[in-house]
Amino acid sequence: MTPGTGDAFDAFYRDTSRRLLRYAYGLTGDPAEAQDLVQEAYARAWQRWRRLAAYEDPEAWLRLVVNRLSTDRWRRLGVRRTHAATAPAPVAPPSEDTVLLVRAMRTLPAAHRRALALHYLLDRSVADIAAETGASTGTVKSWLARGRAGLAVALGAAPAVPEGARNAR
Amino acid sequence: MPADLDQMFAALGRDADAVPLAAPDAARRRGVQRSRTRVLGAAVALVAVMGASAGISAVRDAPTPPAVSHGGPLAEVGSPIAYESEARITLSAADADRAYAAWEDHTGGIHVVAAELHTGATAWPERSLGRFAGLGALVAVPQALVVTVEHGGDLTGKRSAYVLDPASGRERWHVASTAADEFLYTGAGLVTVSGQTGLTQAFDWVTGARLWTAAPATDRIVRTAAMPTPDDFLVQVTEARQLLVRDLRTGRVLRELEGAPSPEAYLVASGGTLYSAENDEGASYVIRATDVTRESPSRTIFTGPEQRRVTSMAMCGPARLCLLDDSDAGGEPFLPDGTNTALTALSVPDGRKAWRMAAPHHAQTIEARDGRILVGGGEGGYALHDAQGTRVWRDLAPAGWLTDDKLITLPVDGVLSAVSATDGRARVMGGVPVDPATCARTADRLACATPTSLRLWELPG
Repeated sequence: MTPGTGDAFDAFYRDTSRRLLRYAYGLTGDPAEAQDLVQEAYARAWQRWRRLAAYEDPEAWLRLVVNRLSTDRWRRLGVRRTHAATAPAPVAPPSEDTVLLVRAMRTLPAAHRRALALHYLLDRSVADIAAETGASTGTVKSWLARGRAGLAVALGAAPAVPEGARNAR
Repeated sequence: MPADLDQMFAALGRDADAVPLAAPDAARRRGVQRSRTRVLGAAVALVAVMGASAGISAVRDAPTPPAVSHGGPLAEVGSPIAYESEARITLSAADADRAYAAWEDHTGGIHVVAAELHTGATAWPERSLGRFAGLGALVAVPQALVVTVEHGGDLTGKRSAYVLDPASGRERWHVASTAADEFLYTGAGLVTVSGQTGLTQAFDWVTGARLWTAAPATDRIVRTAAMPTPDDFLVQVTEARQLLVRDLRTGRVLRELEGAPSPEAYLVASGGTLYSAENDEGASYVIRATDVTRESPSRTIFTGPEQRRVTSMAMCGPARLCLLDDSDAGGEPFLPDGTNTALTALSVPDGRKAWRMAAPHHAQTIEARDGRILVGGGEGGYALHDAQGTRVWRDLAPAGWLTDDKLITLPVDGVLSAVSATDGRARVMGGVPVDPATCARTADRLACATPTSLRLWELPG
């Protein structure tokens, strides 16, 4: 890499990593895994930074990597096992709402989960989500509607929150 | 119950925003570290062919017979060995006699326990190593069980390797290091190389005594690779691109060679030759070979296609070197159902291309037995090629070698299959109630460190 390349990467990381972590958290529901996915995505980005930096939307590339990795459980675990010790500091227990939502999200198909995470956590419009996923706007609307319906069912059946969860309200 | 999704997602967003993130340099280091890890230890597959311009052959698929028979649950060996505290992170390992579980509990306590591999009985009770920032690795070698723990939270953090007696679980000795240091688990001892100074030391597995020390020099060591028996060499690359060839048993420098690979190169040390793969962004990669048994210059044995980048390299037969390469040109991850990864087999030492085939997307590892090559570890699953390059089997599930002529698939649903390496025929062995990809295995046992216990299952022949 040429001098200054690292600075540009670091700036990109600082500008985008917090949003990517939200997305990863929404997909996995696990803070440690979200940390790992984000680190893995940026590690890959660094390996091909010269080209990636020229992309129109490198952040979208990162979300695609995170999405792929989050649906590959083995890969996630492999990374986790290899890099468990490199993960940042432990995290405070999630709020009650988060615990319930994560549990409900896990009952959904990956496509619904992805659409909901993009819409609710990153404020992406239906058109944005369609562009990012390569699906039609009608399909995205269907994912969101079915995702919400699935959450409603799962949340209606949610059991008690385990010890360790804190109340966010 | 009422489901105000806006409110719930807002809460999730706040929780996500409270999750600490490592500094950006940690991600950069991780990218470099991952490449090195692959080179040192690794080994390792759907598929639309993407690289006509790169000369990738169309996949030659041998017809894969369907899986036959359905197994019930696998037979558990003994009873689960329960931990005294629930695990946050677990690791599994196994050797010829025992299965091991190491885990980090919710307070940072690191613990280890062992089971007799063939009866499932407790081999030795739970041993606690203390409280640390994290559990790093669990490695079983014939001479010892090594548990790596972290004292700091990121790649600059300190760590220690605890060397335990595999027969009793008792600590023999431990050594401090940093994440930048390299550990080589050799038959001649544990070799550590300081990432900061290049200080290289070899420790006796049993006593922890320093067998030899190579003091840091002005020309710092930046890469190290072991060339095991029968050569027993340690090859080290210096900052000034010198190649030091050491006697692994004494540390003595046997010879110094010019023109060493770059620190970022992929290295394979085998049969008296050091193979290196050097990527060159936007151009071709180059495979070089250096005969480390005599004073001879390195030579280029293969030049890759334009704009491709090597991502893994390993020996894949007695005179075969295999490598995986990919490209960003129109590539991942924008082709959800395609691959941009290729597997190439070279005849060595001359470097003649034997064949080049499409491999699973983002395959990262190459593992060969008897000339058959298992590749995978990426998002495209796994594939098995015969020595002529024909793909005899593929699957999206994780897979690994069980014996020299058999693979095992380890899908997340826990239903394991054995796959004949000869014809790709799969046979369902049975199921386990855990994610088997997190388990260790031998030819006839699956050992799994679950969050609450160490459990063993029999793998039918």
